[in-house]
Amino acid sequence: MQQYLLRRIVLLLPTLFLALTAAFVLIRMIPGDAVTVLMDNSQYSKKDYTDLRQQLGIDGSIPVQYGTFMESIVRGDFGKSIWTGQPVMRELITSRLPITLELTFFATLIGMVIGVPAGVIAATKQDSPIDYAVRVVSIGALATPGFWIATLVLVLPSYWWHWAPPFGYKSFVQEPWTHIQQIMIPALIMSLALAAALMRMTRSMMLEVLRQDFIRTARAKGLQSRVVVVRHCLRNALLPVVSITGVQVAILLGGTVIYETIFSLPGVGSYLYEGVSRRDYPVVQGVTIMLTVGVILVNFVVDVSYRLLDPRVRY
Amino acid sequence: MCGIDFAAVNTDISVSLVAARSDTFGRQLLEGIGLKASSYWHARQVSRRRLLKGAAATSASVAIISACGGGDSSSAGSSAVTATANVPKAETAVAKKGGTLNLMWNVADAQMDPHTTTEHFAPELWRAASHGLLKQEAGTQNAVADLATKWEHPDSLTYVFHLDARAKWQNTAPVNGRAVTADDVVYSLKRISTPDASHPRASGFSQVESITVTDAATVTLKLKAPFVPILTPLSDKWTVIVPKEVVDKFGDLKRGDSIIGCGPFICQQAESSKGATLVRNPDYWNSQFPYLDKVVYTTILDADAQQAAYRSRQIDILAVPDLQIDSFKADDTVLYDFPQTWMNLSLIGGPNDRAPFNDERVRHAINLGVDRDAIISAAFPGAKYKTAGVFENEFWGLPADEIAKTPGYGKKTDAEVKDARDLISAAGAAGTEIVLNTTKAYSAYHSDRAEAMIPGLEKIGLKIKLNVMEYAAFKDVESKKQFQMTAATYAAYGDPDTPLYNQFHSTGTRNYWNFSDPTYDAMVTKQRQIDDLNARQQAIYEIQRYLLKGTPMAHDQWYHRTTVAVRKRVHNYLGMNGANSSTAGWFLPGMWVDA
Repeated sequence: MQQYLLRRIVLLLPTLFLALTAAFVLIRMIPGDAVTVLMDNSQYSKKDYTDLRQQLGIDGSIPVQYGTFMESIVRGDFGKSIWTGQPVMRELITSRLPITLELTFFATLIGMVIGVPAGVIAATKQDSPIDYAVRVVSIGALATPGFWIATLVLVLPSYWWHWAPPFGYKSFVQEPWTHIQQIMIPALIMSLALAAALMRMTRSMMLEVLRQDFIRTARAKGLQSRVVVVRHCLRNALLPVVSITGVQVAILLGGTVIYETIFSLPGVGSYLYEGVSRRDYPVVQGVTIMLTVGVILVNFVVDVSYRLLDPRVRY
Repeated sequence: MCGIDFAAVNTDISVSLVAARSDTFGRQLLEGIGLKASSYWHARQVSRRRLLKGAAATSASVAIISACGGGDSSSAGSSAVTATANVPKAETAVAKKGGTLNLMWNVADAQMDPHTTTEHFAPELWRAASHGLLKQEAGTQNAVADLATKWEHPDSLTYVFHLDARAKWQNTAPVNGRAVTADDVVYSLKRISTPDASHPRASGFSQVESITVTDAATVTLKLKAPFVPILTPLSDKWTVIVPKEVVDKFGDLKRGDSIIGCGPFICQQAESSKGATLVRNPDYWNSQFPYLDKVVYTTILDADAQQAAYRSRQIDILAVPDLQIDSFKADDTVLYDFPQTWMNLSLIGGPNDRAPFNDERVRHAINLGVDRDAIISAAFPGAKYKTAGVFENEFWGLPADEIAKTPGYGKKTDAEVKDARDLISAAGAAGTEIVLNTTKAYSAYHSDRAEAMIPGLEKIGLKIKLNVMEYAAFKDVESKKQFQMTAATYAAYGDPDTPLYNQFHSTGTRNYWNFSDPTYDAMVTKQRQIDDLNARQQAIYEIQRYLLKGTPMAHDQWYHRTTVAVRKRVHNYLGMNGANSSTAGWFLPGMWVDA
C-alpha cells in the first residue's frame, strides 16, 4: 500500500506538469490577450500597448514566458491577476475554493444519497412500477440540461411567488440560513445528473450481482433479504459505481462554471470563466492547477476506496 | 435642434430642471441662473458662463441637475420613441433619512482603482464615497459642480476651479478627517493623467499643459491648445479625487478597503465578485446628505438571475429588456424611460484602404443596402425607436427627421436596393465573398445585428460569410486591422469629440478602417475650440453630415429609450445606478427610500 501511495504521488508530478503546460499553451493559442481587452475602452497608443504587455510579462516569446512561468511555479508564486492585481492563489484558497468545494461536495453527496439507494431499489424490484419510475426519472435527469433547470428554478418562483434564492454570497458564519439556500439549491440541481448516472449504474451492477451464485447461496443459507442486498450484493456492485463517482466529480467541478454564474456564487468556476474571457493568464493557470490537483486527489481517494470495498483488490 | 421633440411628448417635464439633492437648493440654482420653470433644452441656451455665475451666486456646494425633457420646436420630433416616456424627475417631497437601497452589479473581478481602470464598478463606488472636481448631470452628461463649486474660463487655455472650503476626508486613518485641499486635487489629476500604459484615461488629459495649486482652495489648469472637451474627462466618473496618503499606504487603490474618500458614504466592503456595502458617513461635511443609511450592491451575473432578484425584491432597480417591460408592470414598480446618453458609434464596414472597401461605391452600396429596421428588430426586439445617424445621443445626434431623409437611413425602398446593386456591379464587387466579423459579447447584441444585416447585403449582390468571434479574439484582429469587414459598437461617454477623433481622425487610436481625410481632420480639430455650446452642436452636426455623405463606414444607431424598473419605495432616482450604469454613484446622496 505504501509503495502504491508513493507511486501515485510520483505520478502526480508529471500529471501536474502536463496540465500546467497545457493550460499555459492553450490559453495563449486563443487570439487576443489581456492587454487587448484591458485597453479596449481607452485611447491607447501603440507604445502604451507594448509597454503594458511588457509590464505584465506577456511580451516575450512563448518559450521565454514558459520558462518564467515554470520558475515562478517552482517558487510557489502563481502570480497576480492581471485585472484585479490580487495574488491568484490567495484569492483561490481563501475566497473561491471553499465555495466550489462545498458546492461540489454537497452535489456529490446528494447525488449519491439519491442515486445509489434508488438504483438498489430499482434492481431489487426489477420490472415493477418503482423500477420503471426510477428508470424514467433517471433518463429524464440525464437528458435535461442542468443549466435549464437552474434557470427555471430562478425564474419561475420569482414570477409566481416573488421568491428567488438569495443573491449576494454570504458565508455560513455570516448568515447560516442564507448560506444554506445559496449552496443547497444549486447543489441539488447539480446533483441530478450524478444521481441519474449512479441510479443507472447501481441498478445494472446490482442486477448483475444479484444473479451470481454466491447470492443464491446466501439466500439459501437463510440470510435476510436486507443483509443479502446490502452486505453481499451492494458491496460487490459498488466498485464501478465508485469509479463513476470519481469521474463525475471531475465533471461536477467543471460544471461549477455554469452554476456559479447562474447563481452568482463567487467560486472557482466563475473565476475561471472571467479569467478566460479576459485572457487573465495567471488566473487561468492558477485555477487549472487547482482543478487538476482536485481531480487527481478525488481519483486517488476513489482508487484507495477500492481496497476498503473489496479486500481482494491488490495495488 | 435637438433630435427628439420632448415637448410633444411629456408635458410634465417642463419643470424638470431641479436640483436633486435639495429642492430648496434646486430653486436657488434655477433662480440664480435666471430660470424658473424651464426645460433643460431651454436651459441649454443660457450660456455656460451665465450658468456658472448663477451657480456661484447660490454658494452651492454641489448640484445634480435633472436633465429631462423640453423640446426644440425647430426639430421634427420622433414621438414614436417617446410617446409614453416617463422620464425620472427630481422629487420635491421632503426627503426621509434612513433605510437601505439594494442595487445590483453585473461584472465580477474588477479592480477598485478608478484611475487605472476603464471599468465601471470602481468609479460607481468611489463617486459615492468621494467626489470629483466636477461631475456630470443626469441625462446630458454635462459637467456640473462637485468638489469645485464654481469654475472660471478666463481665456481659451485656462480653467480656474474653486473648491468647497467645507470639504474634508472621512474620519479614518490615514486621512483622519483632514480638509480636502487643492493639493489633493492636483495629486489626483496628475495621477489619472500619468502618461503610461497603466493609466488608461491619461490620453483624455493629453491637451493639459499644467495643473497647479493657486491656493489651498483653488486649482488652475492650463491647456496646450484650446480644447473645450476637457470638461468631459474632468467630470467623468473615473476622475475621482483621492488622498495621497491612501495610495501611499496601500500602494494602489485596487482593493476595496482602499476606498477612502471625502464623500457622503463610507465603503464598508467592496469586492466586485460579491458586491459592496456603503454606509452613511456620519462626519460628512454637508450634513444634509446622504439620506440613505446604507447602499448594498449585489453582484449578479446572469440576466435571468438579475430579473429574478428584482421580482423577488432583493434589488430595487433594474434595466429591463423591451420585450419584458409588460411583465415588470406592478403595483410596487415605476418604469422610467431613459434617453441614450452614450456617445457610442455603431459601425458597419471595413478598412478604407483595402479591397473591396477602398472603392467608395462599395461603401455607399452597403450604406444603402443594409436594412436598419431589420437590424434594430434583432438588436432591441420590441423597442420603440427612430433611426439615428452617427450618434444615438439626443442632443448631439442629428435630428431624426433629417436622418430619415438621408439616403439609406429611411424606410428601405426597392429603388435604394437597385441603386446599391448597381453600385456593387459598377465596382466589380458583385458576388464577392466578404467575411463579416462580429462578436457574441454583450448578450449577442453584436451578432444579432450582424446576422440581421446579411439579407440586405446579399440582396445587393454581396456574399457575406458571418464570423462570430469570442470578444477578445474579435478585439485582437480588429486592433491589428486584420479583418475584411466588421459590425460592432464602440462605447464612448460624455462628449462627441472622443469617438469622432478616435474613430475617424487620421491619427485616431481606434481608426481601424484607416480613414484619412484632411478635411475631416480639420473639422474635428476646429470643433474642439468652440466654446459656445449651440455653435459646437452645429459643428458636430456638420461633421456627422460629412461622415454620412462620405461613408467611410455605414452607421446603425437608433433613438430609443432604456426602460428601468424602480421600486416605488425608492425616491429621487435620477440616474442609472447599478448595472449598466452610464453615470456613477453621485446620484446616491440625493436618493431616499420609504421605510
